[in-house]
Amino acid sequence: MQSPIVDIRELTKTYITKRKELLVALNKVSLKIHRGEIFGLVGESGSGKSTLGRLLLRLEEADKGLILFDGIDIGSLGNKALKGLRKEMQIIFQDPYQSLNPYHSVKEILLEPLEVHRLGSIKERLSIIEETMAMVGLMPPSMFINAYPHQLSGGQRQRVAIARAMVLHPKFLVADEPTSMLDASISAQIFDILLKFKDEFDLTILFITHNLAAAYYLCDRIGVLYRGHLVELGPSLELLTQPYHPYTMALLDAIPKFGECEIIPRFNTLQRAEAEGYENIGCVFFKRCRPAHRIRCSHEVPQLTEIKENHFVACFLAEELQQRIAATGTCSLGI
Amino acid sequence: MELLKVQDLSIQYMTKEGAFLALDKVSISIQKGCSLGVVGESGCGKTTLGMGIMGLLPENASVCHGEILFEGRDILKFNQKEMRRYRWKDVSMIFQSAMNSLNPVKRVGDQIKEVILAHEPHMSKQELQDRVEALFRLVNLPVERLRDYPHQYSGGMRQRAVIAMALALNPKLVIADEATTALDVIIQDQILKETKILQRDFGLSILFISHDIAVVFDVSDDIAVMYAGQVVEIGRKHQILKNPAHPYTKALLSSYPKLGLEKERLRPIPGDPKKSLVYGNTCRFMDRCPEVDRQCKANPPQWIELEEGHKIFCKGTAHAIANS
Repeated sequence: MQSPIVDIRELTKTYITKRKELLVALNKVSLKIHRGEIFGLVGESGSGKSTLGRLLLRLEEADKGLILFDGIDIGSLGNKALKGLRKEMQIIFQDPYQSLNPYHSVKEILLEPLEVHRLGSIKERLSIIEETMAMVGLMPPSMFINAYPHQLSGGQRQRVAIARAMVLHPKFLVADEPTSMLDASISAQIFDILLKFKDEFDLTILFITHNLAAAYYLCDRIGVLYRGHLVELGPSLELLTQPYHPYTMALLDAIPKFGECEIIPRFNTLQRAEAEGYENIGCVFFKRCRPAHRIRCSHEVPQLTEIKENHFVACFLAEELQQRIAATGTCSLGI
Repeated sequence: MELLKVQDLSIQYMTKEGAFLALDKVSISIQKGCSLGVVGESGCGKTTLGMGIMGLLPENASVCHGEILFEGRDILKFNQKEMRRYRWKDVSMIFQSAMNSLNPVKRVGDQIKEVILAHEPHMSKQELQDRVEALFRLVNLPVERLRDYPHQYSGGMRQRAVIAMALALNPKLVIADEATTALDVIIQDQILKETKILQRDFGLSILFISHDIAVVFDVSDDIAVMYAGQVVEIGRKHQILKNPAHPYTKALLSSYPKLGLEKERLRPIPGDPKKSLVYGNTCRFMDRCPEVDRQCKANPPQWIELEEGHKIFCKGTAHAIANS
């Protein structure tokens, strides 16, 4: 098997909050992203999912752990080597209203990365950006090339952001909630563009989202983060139809659904209020977990283990829960 | 009983580029104790509709046609005093951004008390305190947090506080405009469930406005689908789920991933929502419509009733048959 494009080992990142408290954003997260796949990282706000994306591009420094990109430890790189590496990895952000400079035209926005990395002659650069614009559906390019961000719709702005990331033909793209501010019909268009880049250019994508349904649609594999801990990791279809971790089940319960939903069971694994009066040095999800075992789960930290081929879960109760439920049927999921 | 009836409502904005018709002859109605979900993409006029019913249109907007009947009385003819009574006491609104609808330098409890006192100035201190505590319990907020400031709350708690404020005067209708859009799924799910309970237990009517069709389907009894300032399909939830008939509704529904044994590719709607200052008489969805034909270009769309209560605004051919 080919070596993974991204290999993260025991990555830890902590922040000190304003109140001088220690906040663990990521706790010993290990995962591999394979070449040409779309990997989905799902979690609620504060789960550490964006932190992971930022660490990967070295927009921030990790406290502990290792990130190998194409076999190279990116933490050890100096500024010059890092610049070369950044050509290979790009990012698109959630808010296309804020990530594009309002004073730059689409042309200037798209030319900048090529200028920074000194790629092509002036003439070649223009043809590269027009090609990329066509690929993201900004057609015909002449209609958009001199436009400014405020003249574009949200969907068009996000296309510009994707084009800006893609003009350098990177190997790896981090997409941090790229559709959470867009309407469903426009999100679906953006998903199509990302899938096209994956199919035609073998682009590897880390898709960061709070939305399990979007990840399910777009991704080959999904990792679920809860408060900085990777609690489940598996093939996307299997993860949604046969989840093992009670937190994944809770997420699945919470997605608004329509259609024939009666046949999707409710797992009811979420404790409404956090359990009080327990000292918890065990599982990170213990206080919100309804089926949790009082003593074991609060005293021992479950490790991520392979429960089925390519399907990992960090839960003592996984086997037991799985016997109780099995999801079948079809229904549509909100994104 | 019909609580709210909006009849042929048109609202226009004066902009630098000229007059923009944001709502074009929109008709909806809400029965007492029922909920209506209005769904559509950004710019379709759904927020304008909510603001119009609430009587909170910005200065550059004006109602150019139609009426808004609340319990049979046209609110557009209300004088200032009647309007003040109607707003918040009869109808209240939950806005999208909870942080912006709370005052950052006042305690949350005091803000809710202020709303109550503005309408019931003679209420005693104790009564007021009891009332606010009851409201907090209703939306599942701990009473101890009444003395906190908004920034000490999480996003979900703030949204709950805003809901408590909207319910402070026991309104008959609550307009929720993208009330859960900024929240995480788990909190969203809890708030939607609580909303349904309020509707059931207190006979509250709800106008639920959202771009997210899945959320709208979750909470509403009736659905109105809007496109470019017009309602294009309206009906009972089960009618629209079972037999979506307008091409836009169908396209919208197929933009959502299905959870099943195999993954299906989504069929996104091509192009962007139309936004223009002047619309002709012809269908506004025509350019993006997969079912467009010569008839669409020649004739304006018309209202077609498919079943009792289920109507679409489309070309005259028998759509229902094509769908069944």
